Parts: sequence; C-alpha cells; structure tokens
Amino acid sequence: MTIFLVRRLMHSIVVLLVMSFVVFAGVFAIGNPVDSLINPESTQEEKERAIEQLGLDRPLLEQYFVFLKNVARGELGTSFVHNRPAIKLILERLPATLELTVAALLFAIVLGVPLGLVAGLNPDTLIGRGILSSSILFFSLPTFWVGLMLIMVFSVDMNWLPTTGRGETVDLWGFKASFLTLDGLRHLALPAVNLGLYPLALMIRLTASGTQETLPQEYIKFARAKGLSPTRIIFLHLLKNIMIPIVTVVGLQFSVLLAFAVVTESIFAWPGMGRLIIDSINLLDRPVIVAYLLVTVIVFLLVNFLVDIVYSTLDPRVRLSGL
Amino acid sequence: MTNSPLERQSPVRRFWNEYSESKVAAFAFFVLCAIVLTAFAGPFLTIQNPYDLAQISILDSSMPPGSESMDGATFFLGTDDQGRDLLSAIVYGLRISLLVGVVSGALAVVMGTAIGIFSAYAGGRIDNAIMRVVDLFLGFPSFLIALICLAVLGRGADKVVLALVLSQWANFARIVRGVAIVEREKEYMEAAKGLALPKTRIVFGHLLPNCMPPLIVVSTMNVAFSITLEASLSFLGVGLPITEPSLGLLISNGYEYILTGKHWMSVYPGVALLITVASINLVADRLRDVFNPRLNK
Repeated sequence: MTIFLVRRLMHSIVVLLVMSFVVFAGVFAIGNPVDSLINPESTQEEKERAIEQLGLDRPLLEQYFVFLKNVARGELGTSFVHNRPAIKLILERLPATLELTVAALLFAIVLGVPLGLVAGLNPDTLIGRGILSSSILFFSLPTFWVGLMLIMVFSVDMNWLPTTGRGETVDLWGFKASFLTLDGLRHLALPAVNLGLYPLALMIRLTASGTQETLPQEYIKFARAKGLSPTRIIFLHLLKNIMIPIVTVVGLQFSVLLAFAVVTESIFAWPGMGRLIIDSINLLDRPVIVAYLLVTVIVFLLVNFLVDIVYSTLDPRVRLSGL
Repeated sequence: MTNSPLERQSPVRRFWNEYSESKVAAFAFFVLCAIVLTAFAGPFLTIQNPYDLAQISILDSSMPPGSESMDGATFFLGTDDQGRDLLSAIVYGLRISLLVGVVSGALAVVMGTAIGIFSAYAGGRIDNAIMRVVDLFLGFPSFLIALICLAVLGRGADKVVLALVLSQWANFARIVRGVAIVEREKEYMEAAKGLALPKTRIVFGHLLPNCMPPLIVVSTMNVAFSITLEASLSFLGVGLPITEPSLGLLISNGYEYILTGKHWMSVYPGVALLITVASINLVADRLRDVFNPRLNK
C-alpha cells in the first residue's frame, strides 16, 4: 500500500513539474514577457530595470528555474489590476469555488445514484426508459444556457431564489461558508443545480449500466438463492460493486466541475476564482492566470491522489497491479 | 434461385434499417439533416442579413416574437437590441457554430488518429512517450485546456479552433491506439505483412478501416461537444470575436435582457443550440449501439 501511494505521489510530482513548465512556457515564453509582466504604463527606464530585475535577459532554462524557485516560495507576481499578490487573490476565492463544486457533486450523487438504480433495475419500464432518455438530454444541455434558464424561471418569473452572490456567510475555520445559513443555502441552490446537471446525467448512466452489468453475475444469483432480501442484495452486493467506477468518475468529475465552475460562477456572480480568471484573461492579467493554473493543477493532483487511495481501498487488485 | 432479402440490400440500406429500429434516433437524424441544410442555405432562407447594417433598423429593436417590422416582415422569434431579426441571427449563428464544431472536430480526429496509429505502429519507447503526453492531456478537463490555450493565444476564430483541437485530440489518439494495438496482432495484419505490402497500404488499407467504428461514434459526439465548448467560451467572452457571432455569443448578448423579462433573446438561440447538440448526441448514441457487436442480437 505504501509503495503504491509513494509511486502515485511521485507521479503527481512529475505531472506538476511538467505542467509548471507548460504554464511557464505558455505564459512567459510565448508572447512578449515584458508586455505581460511589466505594467504597460511604466516608462522605458522602468521597463529596463524591471527586465533586469526579473531576469528576462537570461537564458530560458535559467529563467524557468528562477520561476520554479519563486513558485516554491509562493511568489507568483502581483496582479496588475488588483495590485495585490496574485496567489492571495486566488486562494481567497478558492473556498467559494470548492464549496460550489462540492455542492454540485453532492447534488449529482444524492440524486443520480438512486435514479440510476431505479433505471437499472427496471430498464424496460416507462420510468426506467424515461430516466435514461432524460439523462441524454442533460448531457446535451449547455451549462451556461441552463444557468440562464434557471435564473429566468426561478428568479425572474417566480421570484423564489436570488441570482447573484453567496448571500450570508459564516466563518468556518477562517473561511467563509454559505451552506451554514439559510440565506447562503438559497444562494447556493441554483448555481449548484446548474453545475450539477452534467454529473447528474453521468451518475444516472453509470449507475444504471453498472446495475445492469452486475445483476446477471453469479454472486447476485447466489445471494438471491440464499434467500437474502432484495434490499440487502441491492445495498450490500450490488451497490458495493458498482461503487468502484462511481468513485473514479466522481474524482474525475471533481476536476471537470472545478473547470466548469468558471461558467456557473460567471452567470451567478459567484465570487469564486473562476470569475476572477475570466476577468484576468480579458484584462491580460497574467500573474493571476499563472496562479490560477498552478492552484488548479495542485487541487487536481490532490483529488486524483485521494481517489487513488479510496480506489485501492475499495479494490485491492488495483494496489497489486499498480506495482 | 431467389435471393434472400438480406442479399439484395446494399450495405447502406442494411445499416439504415438497423439504425432506424430506434425511432427516436431516426427522428434525430432527420432533425440533424434539417439543421445542416438550414445552415447551408442560411442566406436564402432568412428575411434579412442580420449583420448588414443597411438591412436592419434600430426602430425594430427588442420586439417580442411575432411582431411586425416597419416594412411588414414578421419577426417570428422577435428582435434583439439592435433590431436584428432573431431567427435570421440564429440561422447565421448556427452556420458559425456548426463550422467551428465540424472543422475543429475533423482536425482533432485527423491529428489524434495520426498520432494514435503512429504510436501503436511504432510501439516500444516511442509508444510509451506518446501515451504519457496523451495521459497528461487527458488528465485535465478539455474546458480547462481550451481556456489555457485561449488565455495564452488570445481571441479569434482560428485560435478557438486550435484550442478546441488541442483539448480534444488526445481522446482520439487514445482510442485509435487502443484499437490499433488489438488489430495489429490479428491474422489479417500478419497476412498483409507476409505479402510484403508497403507500410502505407497496411496502415491506410488495413489498419485504419478497422479502427473506424469507434472513431465514427466518438467523432460524432466530439462535434457536439466542440459546439457546446465553443458556445461556452464565446458566452464567457474568451471565444469567438463579436464579428463572428456564434450561438454562444447570441445567448450572451441576450443575457442582460433576461432580468428585464425580454427572455426571447437568449432563450431561442439556446433552444437552437440544444436541438443541434441533442440531435448529434442521439445519433452518436444510436451509432454506438449499432456498431457494438456485443449488443447486436
């Protein structure tokens, strides 16, 4: 187990290094780093001083190591627009994005697994077919447009739920959290549903196909022959076995949602890092873009690492073949 | 001697018969054909060119669906804030969305297939190295890859296509390589090699055709995904420029009017996008069932 985890960790570090080089090459080497790193309003003299200070006159590889050293110290430059350290700007907004992502994922799991189970157990009934067909529809719905429709129906027409911001927040270990207040939950509802529709469709299809593949297995027949109750068979024998693909997909989806949160946050004015990155791209605020990318990559790798741990606990074969 | 009905059917006919066993999929196919035709014939069908300033009038702006313009034409889906007929704008937007989706999808397929086949055929270290790169790309959501590309490259239609290709090619490389590795070991490949056929002929004449079924399914889905991705990026203002108004930009333009109750400006472009993407997905879903020999009874 330890060897397996160490190997995975090494792998993550390699990916992180490669990504840091890609980000470095993308943002610093392509295009003019002088334009992207130095305030365009500064004078020629100031520019030359900055070029020397930033080491832009040195070879590329040397620049990369300097960049790595700065990253290790958490120095990613200062935002041109906000005039504050870029990494701070990102980290301040990370909790809001994580809250939204987790809420969306929970919505998808809590609703998707039971619905998928119903569809998988009754594939030929009207309900089963209805659930599966609507999941294809959810796949096709463009997230951003659904967001607009949710606002139109629930906020403008019915006036039930607010459209922007996080609402009232509570301090939780130094972070702001919306899900602990009623007002915050009301603000969270629409964005979470919006972001959660795609993984919901995925959960439904995954659970349904997993159920259909597991049902004809020998051990299910055996459990039935033993006279176990259907509930026991479903929850103990069936669900446990379809958990493995579900856990994997939840992990993968977490990363996808983290990226797609950009869209939802823009629509619902959710003050997370996704909104910040769009503004930064439009304003060419490169230090913030770099900070966002590195933080996102680190979160991805952490999540993948966690998934590996859960995965190898659920399915011991993975540990062995992983070696 | 009478021919059995199966023998008289052409392959296309046989394929269609099997495909159309699902009525929903058959319907989706016709809807898709209609959409593509509409996009092609766009300029001849619409009542105006919505981007020719001489043809639109600001006096017609923000009119609800069904209103009549100053010169008597009907705006079936209303007009936008500039006085453009929304239906015409949707048809024009559809052209751009489909074009970007199909072009980037096709380029991603070509790039991914080439790399996948090369990787499988080369094997060994080269294969290993290429697959590492593929894994790296697949490890990140395509939306994020596209976003990174656009953050680095800037705006413009060509850059959007490049971003979409870069965010999708790895999928195809992985699939094609997977199929090719299995096919490589089969006897017909050995026979082809035994005949000392030229390498290009083995790859293009024998290997590639056998990789087609999964490739067709995934590339169909990929077009739908590219269209959605482009629309999302354009909606956020990092995709296509305002001079190439795709469906995503239309929705984005109507966004601010939703709160004032002028919902049609973003509802209908969205419906057009949804119908397009849903019909492509339904067709792809059915194609997968038809191609999958495990499900063929």
